Amino acid sequence: MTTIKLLPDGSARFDHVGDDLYQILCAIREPVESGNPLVESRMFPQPSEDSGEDDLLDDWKSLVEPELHDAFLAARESVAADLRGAQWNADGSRHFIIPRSHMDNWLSALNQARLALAEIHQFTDEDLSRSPGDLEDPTEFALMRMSLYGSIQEWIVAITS
Amino acid sequence: MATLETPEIETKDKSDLDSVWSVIVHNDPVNLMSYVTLVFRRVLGFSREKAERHMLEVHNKGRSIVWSGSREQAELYVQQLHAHLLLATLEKAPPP
Repeated sequence: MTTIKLLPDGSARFDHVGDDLYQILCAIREPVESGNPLVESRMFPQPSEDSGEDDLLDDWKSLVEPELHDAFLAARESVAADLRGAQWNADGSRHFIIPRSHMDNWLSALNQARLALAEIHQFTDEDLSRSPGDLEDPTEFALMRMSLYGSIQEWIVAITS
Repeated sequence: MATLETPEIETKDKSDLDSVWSVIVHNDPVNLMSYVTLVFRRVLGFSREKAERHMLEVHNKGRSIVWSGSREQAELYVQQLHAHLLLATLEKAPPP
C-alpha cells in the first residue's frame, strides 16, 4: 500500500507506489495538454466581464497569458521530473521524493489536471460529489483521477499551510 | 532641422484611475476549499479566518469581493489569482 511520509527537510517521500498509481500520476499533464478549447478557456479566463474592456483583454492575451502559460508548463515539467526520478523497490513498486521546493509545482499541476478533466468530461456539481463507478468507463476513470489528484492536493495544502 | 513628432501615449481614462476597483473571485466547483483558502492567504495576505470567510462567501454566494483599491493593483491581484487558477475578475466599484 502506498505511503506518503513528510521528511525532516520538508520534502515528501511517496513509497510503495504501484504501477497503476504511478501511471496515473505520470498522466497529470495529459488532460492539460490535450488541446481542448474548453481547457484553454478555463486555464486562461478573462480578467473582466465588462464588454468595454477591450484594451485590457487585448493586453491580457498578449502579455499575461504567455507568462501564465510558461508558469503552468514549468510546474508540470517539475512534476514530470520528480516522477522520472522514481526508483524501483525490490517488490516491484516505486518510490520517489517531492522536494519541498517543488510542492507548489505539484499543487499547480494537480489543480491544472483536475480543472482540465472537469472541462473535458463536463462534470457537474453532482458528478463531483459522487463516487466513481465502473473504472472501465473513461468518464468514471477521469472522475477517479480527479478524486485522487484532489486527495494529494489536500495533503500538500495541509502540510504547507 | 528635424522636428520631433509628438509621441502618442496611450493612457488609461482618468476616471478609471480615480475610481475604486474591486477584485471579484467567482465560484468554481473544482477548486478545493482548502486550496482557495491557501491562495487567499498567500496572494492577499489574509488571516486564516478572513480567508475562510471569503472562501465560504464564494462557495455559498457564487462570488466574493476580496479586495478594493487602485486599478493597477487590482489587475495585479487578478493576475496572481489566475496564476493559481482561480476565477477572478476586476470591476469598477459602484460610487459610494
